[in-house]
This record gives sequence, C-alpha cells and structure tokens, in this order.
Amino acid sequence: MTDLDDRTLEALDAEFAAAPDPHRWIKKYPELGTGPISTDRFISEEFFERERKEVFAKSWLNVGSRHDFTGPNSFFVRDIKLLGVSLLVVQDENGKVQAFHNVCSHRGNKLIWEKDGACPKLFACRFHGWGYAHDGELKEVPDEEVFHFDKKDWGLVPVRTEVWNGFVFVNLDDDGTEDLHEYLGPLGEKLKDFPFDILSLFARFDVPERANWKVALDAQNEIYHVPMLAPLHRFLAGGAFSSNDEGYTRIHDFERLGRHSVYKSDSDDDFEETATGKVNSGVSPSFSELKLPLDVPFAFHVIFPNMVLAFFGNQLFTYNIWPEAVNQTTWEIRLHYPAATNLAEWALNEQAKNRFRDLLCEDQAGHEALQVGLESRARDSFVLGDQEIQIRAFHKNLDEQMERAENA
Amino acid sequence: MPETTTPESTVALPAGFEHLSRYASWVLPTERERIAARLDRPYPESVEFYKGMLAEQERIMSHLLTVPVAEATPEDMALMHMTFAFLEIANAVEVYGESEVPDGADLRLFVSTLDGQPARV
Repeated sequence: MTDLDDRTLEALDAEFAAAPDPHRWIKKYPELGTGPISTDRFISEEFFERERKEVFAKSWLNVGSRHDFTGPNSFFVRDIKLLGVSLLVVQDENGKVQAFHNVCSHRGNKLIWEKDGACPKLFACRFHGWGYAHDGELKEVPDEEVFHFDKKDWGLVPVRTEVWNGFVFVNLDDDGTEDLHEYLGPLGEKLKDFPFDILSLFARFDVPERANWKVALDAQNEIYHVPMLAPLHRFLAGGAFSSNDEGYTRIHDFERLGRHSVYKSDSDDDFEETATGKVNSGVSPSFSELKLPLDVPFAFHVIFPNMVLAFFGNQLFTYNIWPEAVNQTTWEIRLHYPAATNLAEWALNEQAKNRFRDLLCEDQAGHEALQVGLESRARDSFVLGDQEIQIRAFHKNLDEQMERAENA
Repeated sequence: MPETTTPESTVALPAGFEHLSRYASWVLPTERERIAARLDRPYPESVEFYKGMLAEQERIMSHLLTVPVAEATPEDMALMHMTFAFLEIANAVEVYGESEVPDGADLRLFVSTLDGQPARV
C-alpha cells in the first residue's frame, strides 16, 4: 500500500496539470539537444578569429538608432574595433541614412573625429582639406589641378546600410545578398508594428568587461539566476518575474525566430513594491499603466549575433555586445522609456533607470568572475537546463552561421 | 561682528517646499554627482535624507505631476534634482541596506554617457 492509493484519480490529474513539464522547452525544440557545451568557445583565440571573420564580418550589425541623430542632416560615428573600421553614419535632409567608411580617399586619414553632430556643409579632412558631400561624393580637392584623377571615382566608400524601426544596421560583407528584411525574418515580422517612436532614449552605459562577449550575452539570456544572484534580483523575483511554487522562475514562452529568438516572462500578482514604489503607485493610477503593447511584462529578443532588444514594463532596453578581444568586451546598454510629459513621469523614468542600472551592476561583476572560471579550464564543458534553452538556441545559431560561412 | 556659522547653502524651491532647503546639499543635477554622493557620503546621512524625503514623497510627486516638462521653473528643477538624489539613495536603503551594490561592479562604471542631457525623443 502506498500514499498514491489514498488519492483519487482526479486529484492526481489536477496535480499533474498544476506542475508543468520541467522539460517542456526541449520537447518543443528537440534539435537543440541536451548535452554539455564546450568552454573552448569562450576562451579560444582561434574560435574568436572565426567569429570575427565568419560571423561579425558577414552579419547585419546594429550600430545605432534614430536617437543618435540630432535631426535631419546629422551624423554619428561608430568605431567597430573588432572589424578595424570606423563608420560615418549620415542622415540626409530627407531622413535617408547611409554609412560610409570614415576614411578620406586621399591618403587614408580618419575623416571625422567628432562623435556626432549636425552635418557640416562638406565633411572635410583636416589633413589637406578634401571635402565630401552628404551623399559621399568628393566635391572639393584643394589645388585640384596637380592631381591625375577624376574626382567622381574618389568619393567616400559606402557600406551596406538599412534601417528597421529606427534601428540602423550595417553589413560589412560587400558580396552578401541577404537584405535586412530577410535577415530579421520572423523576428522582424513580429515587431514590425511596435510603436518604437513613443520611446525616448533616457540613458546609455558603455561598460567595459574583462569577459568574452558571449559570457555577457548568455548571462542575460535567462532568468534562472533571478531568485538567487543578488539582492535586487531577489527582490524582483518576488513577482516582477513569474515563478513556480518553489520560487524558481519559469519562462512563459520561448521561440526560435530564424537565427534570432525570444523568451518571455509574466509577472506574479503578489509582487510587493518598495516603500517608494508604493507611494508612486498611490499618487496616480496612470503610473502603473503599461503604455507599451506587450502581452506579458517581460520579453527578451536576441537579434543575432550580438544585439538584445527587450522590454521590461514600460522600459525598452537594448544591448549591443561588442567583442574586442577573446576576453574583453564593451557592453553597450541603452534604456528607453515613453517620453515624459510632466516632471513626475520624468522622475519615474529616473527611478526605473536607477533600479535597472543597479540590477546590471549586480550582473556585471558576475560576467568577469565567469570568465576567470572558464579560463581556468577546470572543466572543458558546462551544462544547461530547460530554463536556459535560449542559450542553447543562441549557440546553435552561432554554429550554423559559422558553417554557412565556411561552406559559402 | 562675530561670524555666524555658515548656513547651509540655500536653494530656491517651489512654494510649499521651502522647508526642504535643509537638503540643499542633495540638489545634485548630474548622475555622476548623485552616484558619488551615494558612495561617498556616510550611510547614516543617506538614511536620514531618505526618511525625510519619503515622508514628503507623495506631496512632491503630486506637485511634479502638475508641471509639464517644458514649463519647469528653476525651482521645480531644484526639487527634481533633490528628488533624483532621493531616488538614487532609495535603492541603497530599500534594497541593500548599504551604499554600494554588494559584490557588484563599481557603480561609477554605470554613469550614463548622456548624463546631464535631456532624453532623446
């Protein structure tokens, strides 16, 4: 006689229904496998070189957004250390965006040294004064008669550039044929009507980390750590993310979207805010409203290879994770909120920014510690659970891209 | 004439909030200054400021709700910068019970590159 005999079938059915399958996601995506993953990917110089040539030099990379322009007829400069390029990204008077190599055609000087600004009449090189129009055409060559060329052939070198929902992407592969729409595929479709234009860029952090770029991405690409990692994480685990009866987070949904992915989390009704949070909720009901059209309050999209586009309540946060060396990365973080119409909304945005920033501060030290552990080679592989399926999907996408590049 | 003790630097605040000028040293217009204050000022001082402001928070936020961003006066902005400092300290007091993020990265790495600028719409 066992305990089971004391329970009715209905009770057992109810119990089963109440406890979702702990391997739910691998059953949906069995091709992702359940085996361990090699640590070599995070510490090998050879693997890093392959990523540079086969992934970053061949993918659409997000280098900025409409917020980086000061208006029509403005520019910003983006240096991509990994690929050894500096890009001059220009928005002309009609709002058309084009990136060029930020290199003077004369003898290779870096053309524009400012970070951003309104377009000057001509982009002029400080070495000999050569001047380029906003469409890259070479317009002015001081002492032109001593040269032996046709100016028309020596404009700025353009780079494949496209814009999606205000996000500027470039592709350094001049021989590539896949446009951005094809590249973004089902992810682009999913988000194509999202009202990004109601969001203002509130803060940007460029955080240097002694860690492989994928350590930072993987660490953010799951919420398993939320109830355990650190005080603010644990506080948010009390309801800002959904969890099971034992207090472990459970993702609400996960989808592979071409070479990209998304995972989502719901929130719990019993989330207990801090004292300041409670006062704010009490001052105006509009403060608690979700102004963004989200079905659940947390959605985390990975846009291959190194961009995150995610929502947390009324916050859009993006990451651009820039590899610089196998164990050195710049984690570029941007926080956006619906534009404040009054000072109280501005103060709420400030509080949300502080809170999220402390959360990332808790994360960042972890990234560097992870890299040290990986470099020790104590183990040559590591393990992932069902609530980390997003990470498996990313590494599979990475392998598939490298395979495509090698077979091209 | 004997020198009086230096009064706390005065700051002009909106009507009804003049009594908060005792917190003039917390009117910090940039994120860099606010993070520095959080890390450098003695924690008990931060707690005292937090408690004083928490008691006023509802009144402050109700006032700020009535001011469109484009119509903020210098007095409103002084109150805003004091409130921003309060919201910075709130994390330290409510979440950590200390000034720093324990076992975290240096908060100073997380000063916005847009510090001091308005949000970009």
